Amino acid sequence: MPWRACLGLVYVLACAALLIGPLLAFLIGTARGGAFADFTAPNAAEQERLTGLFWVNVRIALGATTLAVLCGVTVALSIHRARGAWRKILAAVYPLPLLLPPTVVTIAWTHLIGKRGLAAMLWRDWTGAEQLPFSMYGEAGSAWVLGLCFFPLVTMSTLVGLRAVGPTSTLAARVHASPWRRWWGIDTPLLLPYVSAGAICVAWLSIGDFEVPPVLLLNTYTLQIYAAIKSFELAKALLLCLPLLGATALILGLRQLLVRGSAEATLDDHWRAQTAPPDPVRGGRLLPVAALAVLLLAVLAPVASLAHQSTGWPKLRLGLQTAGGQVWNSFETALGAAALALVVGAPYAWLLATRRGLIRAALALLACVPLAIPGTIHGLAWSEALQLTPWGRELLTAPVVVSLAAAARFFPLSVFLLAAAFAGLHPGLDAAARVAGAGLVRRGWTIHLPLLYPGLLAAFAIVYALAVGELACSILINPVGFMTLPVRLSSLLHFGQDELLAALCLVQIFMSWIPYLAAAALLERVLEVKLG
Amino acid sequence: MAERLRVEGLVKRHGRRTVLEGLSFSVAEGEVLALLGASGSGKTTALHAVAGLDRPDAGTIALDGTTVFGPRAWTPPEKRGVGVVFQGQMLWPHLSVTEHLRFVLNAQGVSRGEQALRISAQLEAVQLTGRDRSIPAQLSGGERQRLALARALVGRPRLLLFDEPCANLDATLKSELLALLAKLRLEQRLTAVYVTHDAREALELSDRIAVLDGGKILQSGTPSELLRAPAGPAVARLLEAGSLLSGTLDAAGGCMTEIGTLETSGLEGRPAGTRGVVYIRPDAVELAEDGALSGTVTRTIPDGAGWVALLNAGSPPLRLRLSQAPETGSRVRFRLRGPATAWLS
Repeated sequence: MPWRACLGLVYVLACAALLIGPLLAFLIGTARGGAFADFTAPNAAEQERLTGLFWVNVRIALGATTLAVLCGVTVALSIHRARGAWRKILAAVYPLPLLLPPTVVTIAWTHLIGKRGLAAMLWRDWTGAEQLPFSMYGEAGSAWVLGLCFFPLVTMSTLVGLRAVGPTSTLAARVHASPWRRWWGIDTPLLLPYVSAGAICVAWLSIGDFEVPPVLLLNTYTLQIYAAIKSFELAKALLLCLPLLGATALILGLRQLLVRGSAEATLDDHWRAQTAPPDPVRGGRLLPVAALAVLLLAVLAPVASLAHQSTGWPKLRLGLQTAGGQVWNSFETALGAAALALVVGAPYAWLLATRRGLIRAALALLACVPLAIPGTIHGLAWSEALQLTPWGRELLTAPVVVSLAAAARFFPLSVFLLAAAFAGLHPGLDAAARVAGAGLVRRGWTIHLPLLYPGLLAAFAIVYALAVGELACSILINPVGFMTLPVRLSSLLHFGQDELLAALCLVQIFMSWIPYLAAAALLERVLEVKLG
Repeated sequence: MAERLRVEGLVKRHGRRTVLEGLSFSVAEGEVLALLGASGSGKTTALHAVAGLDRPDAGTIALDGTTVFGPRAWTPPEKRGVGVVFQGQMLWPHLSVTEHLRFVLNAQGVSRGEQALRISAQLEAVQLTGRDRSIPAQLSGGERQRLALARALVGRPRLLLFDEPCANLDATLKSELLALLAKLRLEQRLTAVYVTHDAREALELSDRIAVLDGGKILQSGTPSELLRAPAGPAVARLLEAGSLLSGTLDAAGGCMTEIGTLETSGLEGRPAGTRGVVYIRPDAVELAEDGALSGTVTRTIPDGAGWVALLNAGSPPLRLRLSQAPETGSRVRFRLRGPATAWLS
């Protein structure tokens, strides 16, 4: 076997160890402890109940994904069309929902349109009716919150697609077809790989979510896993994860089926698209209004609700005073996770972008396992696996373990974004550099890195944004004396300190938003400089 | 003249399809060889193999006598010292004109002072002076193509490889680029392999033409050799210079075609009734009142010095040079200077 193939294999095995190693160790440990031997299969009634609950999760994921696609694509199109300050504002604001733990967003929404929320009060004053004509509790509410929390993932991937596809592909169609026919026949198939990449991430995150439904008084399949963990039925918890893994594979397969035959844009088109004028017809005036409505719903509503709850500056100051350390902890662990996911994920993404057939499918499936299983299982697996060795136990006492687990959990997001960036890099550009006499390092530094920069930055930002609000996994592996802000928020939630909780949520928004804005500004600057 | 490139027995398969089937050719120092072929004939694959961008399944490639590809030899593209002008230009979208050239020179370890001199000379040679800070998106189509050329030339490669550099260029840009290439060829005594599907480019630029079909060389020779005696209908068709007519041998040894019976060479000894393809060189046709051949004028094209009449026969149509414009639809009589070449159909 050539040395490069050997190196690739070793690297993939190392990645596999990071991605599913802890899970396998946890599985083996549980099996050795006899948990599987003691496990009794649920009876028919229990099986039926679990199946019903599984479909609840599927419906939530479906609803959340649909909403995320609608909102995400609307906002992406609006950003793509907009110019000047409006574009900058839109681009800066839309990732905000991603920066908060979904639980917090749920709380914010219940404060707005819950049973005793602001909207309910106003409605009562106005109509005299005790309840709003709709209820956010249940499946619809869960899908609503999750969809609004995760839609920035679809916006990000769609924006990458819009830049890559460019207006040149649609120019020919413009002389033949109406805007809608063009949109359906040309734009949609070209954008499908990108939109669906964001959509599957939303589907995975939603199907495994266990934070939102309980706040909205809904029993779900993932809650059964959590309950099994709490009652130390580890075998049951692990076995209950299997249908989720199956669903993950199914979603991945469905996406492959959807995007088969879709054209792959080249980076040349991407750069041309940056300088080309926007299509003046598509969307008309409806698009900015729709985008504004989405951002008001997804960003302004929860933030306003939190601001209202926090009862102003004194609580905010108190929050800052008491949570300074946790703010810093969250910041550094998220930064570490993003950097780690980028460094480890880049070669993996390259492999994913350059391989075909079964190898590609296996790599993709392996990458998305950590995202498919609930965060609690992921955290528990890390915690249990590290207990097995002395160096693991040592690692468990260091904050780096939180970064490591978060990086592994959000690895698929970084990998799929980077793979899209790699796939867009025309192989001829590298070939031109090779025949010019440049070696691997020079080509990587001068040609690949600047061209992949937007993809690298987007991958970094997305992992950072998700890791900074990560709770399910970090709550189980936080070293003694070390606490991230989402963990603190969770404890405040349980103790019902709503005012301080809302204040800290606002702190969390700003502490995660500012680095994000800095990264976005840097990206904009780089693009401006590079494009003159 | 020393041999710069030697390619022997090159084989390349993509799955079950054989793209190159024992391809062999050589290029001498200071010579320009054109690889002429239709789409899918394997010419770009051959070029990529020479550049090191594609690894053939068998055969050898030697540059200046050193084997760069062979049974136990492999030199990566960056170490072969070749320059390539790609079909899609493949300019780096984030680098300016100067940065493109500097990238090549940096890779070769050329000193800063030397770099400045060579970049300025190269930009002047390709008429890009004053555009040194522009990135590809800010250049016109012709400027982008000239930048691609400058990038390939600035490293002073021992062999230049052109992969259909005029594809996607309009007629004016194409003429400009061909003129520039011809000028650079004279000034810098380039050694090059020029891949194209356009016979005009091959005839205009090259010292020798190798006609490729199905991964094999059908014929190789100087442009005039090929025009005078193409090896078969496929070569004649690719050269686009003469006309091809279907015919049948008669008992007297002549070939009956739609324009009359022609005297041919190449099918001697074949029985009467044998079907063949007749190649008529453009310079072999002359107008004659008493000519035995005749055809109907379908179109007339002014060419500055006179008129070219296209007749209703042959593929491409038979061309007849005239001093006065004939009427479309009129019948003209003509004859051939010497026998026409014929092959079995």
